[in-house]
Parts: sequence; structure tokens; C-alpha cells
Amino acid sequence: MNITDLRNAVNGIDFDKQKQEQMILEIRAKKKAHRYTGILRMAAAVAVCIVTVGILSVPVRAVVTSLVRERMESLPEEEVAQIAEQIQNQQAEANSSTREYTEGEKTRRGELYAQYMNGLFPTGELTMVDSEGEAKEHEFCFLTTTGVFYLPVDRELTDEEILQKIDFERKQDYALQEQRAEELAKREAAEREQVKEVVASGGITEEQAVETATGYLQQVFGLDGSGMELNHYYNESDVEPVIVADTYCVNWSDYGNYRYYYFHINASDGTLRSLSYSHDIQEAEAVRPTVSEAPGKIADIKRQARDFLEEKLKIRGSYKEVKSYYRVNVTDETVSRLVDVLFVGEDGASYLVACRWNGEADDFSVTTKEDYEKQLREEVELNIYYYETREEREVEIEIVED
Amino acid sequence: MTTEEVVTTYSPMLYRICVVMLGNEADAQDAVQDTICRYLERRKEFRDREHEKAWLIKVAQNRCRDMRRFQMRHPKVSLEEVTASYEDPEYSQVLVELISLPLPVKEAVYLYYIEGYKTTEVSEILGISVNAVKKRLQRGRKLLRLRLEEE
Repeated sequence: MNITDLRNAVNGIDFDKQKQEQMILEIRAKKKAHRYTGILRMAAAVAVCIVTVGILSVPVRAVVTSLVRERMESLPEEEVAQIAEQIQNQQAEANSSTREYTEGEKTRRGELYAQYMNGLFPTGELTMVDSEGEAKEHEFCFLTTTGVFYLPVDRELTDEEILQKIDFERKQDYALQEQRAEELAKREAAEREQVKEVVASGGITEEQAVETATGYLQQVFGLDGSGMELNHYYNESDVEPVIVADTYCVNWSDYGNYRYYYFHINASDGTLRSLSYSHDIQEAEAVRPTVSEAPGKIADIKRQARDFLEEKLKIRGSYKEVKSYYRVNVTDETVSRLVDVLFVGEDGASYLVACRWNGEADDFSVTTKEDYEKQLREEVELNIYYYETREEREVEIEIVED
Repeated sequence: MTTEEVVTTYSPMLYRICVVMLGNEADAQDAVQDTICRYLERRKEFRDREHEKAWLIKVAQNRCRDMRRFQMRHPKVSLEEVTASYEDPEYSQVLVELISLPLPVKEAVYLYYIEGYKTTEVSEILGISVNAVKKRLQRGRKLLRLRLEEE
């Protein structure tokens, strides 16, 4: 064998145009799903102060109030282009801040966000600077080159400053949305065709899916969607493990409080495939028990998971098995943040309810015992691998079933 | 770059690497897709095209390592599907031998002989010493029976 043979052999591996086009479509679909995982990551980021809002929260088709829309549409084209360019040049930690937000700031932000959506806009503009030296001269400003908000060191943000920040984040979302307008229009046209086919073959419309999800939002969370952004779209192909094919994805985002609600509706029959609720990860951390305390909590969690199924989702049935699963990191002596409770039906179809340790449900999905257990084993393998590669240490992780 | 541009520009190169690393077309496509998604997410700034290419190769190789680990626990596939399209059985055999190399050796051999990186550049991409690169190349040559000149 010589080097030319080697190169010729490798160069014979062809990735043709057709495969490339297929990949482009799949990546676009994946980017939609990425919003889901991205926002989950964002909830975690709140806890560690890096508030990743801009890029990750870009709504695919944001339904905003007419007042906000008018405000955004009146922005000069140059300003929109400039903001979009800033975002492209920012690092992964874009929209982080120099300190953690205080509880008071978080509460006021939630209230002000709702008021902003109803037309309470800042009177001034966010101060933007281009160098770290300049940033240090201001109490509150945004460093464009790094995407970092400089927050006052010895006082809380004023309402006006919080409104300026909210306004700027909306402008970022709008700028990115505008930049992708053509791409979005094409994608939406393709999706409309897919939805037509779904309806023609006896499935439900996108509007019916939104109606169904709205019902669940009210039933499960007691919310009517007001003050939140609604996004919805049809997902044709599998984007495992998040979204399965032939699904309407309906999401509400409460950016003010960093809470997100996701519903996946089966396009063929209108049933709920899954729902999840993403929030500040610290809430779940706060109720996590020690390894020795954990077993004592399982019976209660199973009961609460069943209550969730029956009372919130109105799913009642007899199950041949009700099992709980959680992970124990034996090396670090910690338990997983959530406990999964699996209700295995007589016909094999199963319902999975993932609960925090205080019994509150975070996720629901329709699955099978086989699929769930396979996914769980893979998660454990991945966890072990992450420790090996990122922390360069070996850990032992056990699955505890009951 | 847009999704289209990055796929068109880099996917053939990344695909070849991933096929050789994984010996499986479907997994290779997944690895390429993951790599490009990461590129699009990060919006990282690069010094130049070479820097960009090296970053993509590094990410792709890391992804292949992750997937190899999973493959080892869940063996599947065969090299036949990879080599099925080859008309020349000699090239097909060469590719099988390359794919069959141990992963660390294969990574070094690929970057050095196929992509044409220098040993110092290979060492940077793989995060190992230049000496380790040379050892891996030596082992690769022995295993492949390459008639190549020493660097």
C-alpha cells in the first residue's frame, strides 16, 4: 500500500448533493428541537448567573402583542442589522451578566415584563459600549463585543434599567427573526403543505393542536397563556429523543419569569404525546434528598405521580406495573434531580411521569417500558462518559428501581 | 455561514473522516450533522479557513470517539456497506484496513496522510504531544504496511 492508494481510497467516499440536501433539512429540524434543549439549558443558566437569553430564546414564530410588534417594526433597518451583527459576533456566553440578579430584581423583572408586553416601554435606551474600559465607566451598560451586561455593583437595577434590558432582548430576538425571515417563510410554506397532507389523511389541524394544548396548559398549570409567547409548528420527522415524528409542537414561553411550557400533540389523533415544564433548576435542587433519605420518599412520589395522571391529565387506567427509577451517583453519594415513575399498561403502552423529589411533576410522556429503560441505560452511560472526559475521573452510577 | 453553505463546504470532508473513524455510513452522517449543528450554535470566530477546518475536524473526531464508545457496547454494522460502492477491490481493501486500525492510530494517520497536516498540527488537533503523534504514525505505518518515508 502506498500513500496514493490510501488517499484515493478515502477520496472514494462520496457524500453526494442529495445527502447534503437531506442533511440541511435535518439540521433545520434539529435547530427547532434545539430551542427545547436550549431553553432547558437556559433555565439552568439562571441559577449560575449566566443569563443566556438572546440567541437561545429566539422564537421561531413569536406571537407578541401588537404594541410590541409595532415597536419592533418601527426600528430603523440599520439598527436591526447592527443588532443582528452583534449577536453573530458574540461568544457562546452571550447576554451573560457581571453579577447574579437579586431576588428583588428577578421579581420586578417578571412584573415589568408583563407590563412591557402591554406597552410599558423604557423612556431611554440601553447604553452600549465597545470596550471593557468604557464599560467600567458606566453603572449599567451592554458591552457589544462580548455580549455582557454590566450591572451596578452596589445597588439593584431600577425599573427603567430592567425595562431597557427587556426591550433590548426583544430587539435581539426581532433582529434574528428578521434576518431569517426568508428561511422561515420557506420552512413555513413547506410545513403548511405537510399539515395539509396530515389533515387530508384524517389528522388534526395545527389550530386544533393549539386548542388541545391550551386546554392542557389550563388543566395542568392553571394558566391561560396570557402574557406569554406562543410558538407552534408541525414536526414531520423524528428528532430523538425530544420530538417524535408527526407531532405538533406547541410551546409557551414566559420570558419574564424564565418558565417554559412544552406540549407535543399527536397530529394523527390529537392525543397528548408529552408535556414538560422548564423552570429555575434551583427549585428542583432545593428538594433533592441524600442517598439514604431517597428510598423513604418513593411511595409518596408514586402516589403524587398517579394523582398527576388522574387529576391533571384525566388519564385513568389499570396498570400491570408501576415502577420508579432514579439514579445514584455512588462515588459522589448523590441522587438524580428527578424520579421517573412509569405506569405500564396492560397492552404495553406506558405513561412516564418525571417528578421532583417533592412529588411535583416536571414531565409527562407516552412511551413503552422497553424504550424508556433503553433510554435510561444510555443516559447512565453518557453520564459516566461525561465524568471521564470532562472531569477526568471515574464514577459509579446505579439505577435504583422500585 | 448559513446551514447550506457550511454543509456544502465541509460535509464531504467531515463525512470522509467520520466514515473512516466509525466504519459506518449512518453513524458518520449523524456525527457530521452533530458537528455542523455545534458549529452553527457556537458561531465561533476563526482566524481563517484553516483554523475553522481544524476546529471542525476536532469536534468531529471527539464526536466519533463518543460514538465509538457507544458502538463498542452496542456492536453493529459492517464494513461491507461502506465499501459496497467501490468498483476497484484494491481501494476497497485499503479502506477496510484503514478503518480497522485502532482509533488513536487511525486519527493520527488520517490527519497526517489524508488531510496533510504536519505532526505539530496533528498534535494540536488531537491534544497530544508531537512524540505521541510520531509513535502513532509509526504504528499506523506498520499496521498498514505503508511504504512511506519517515518525516
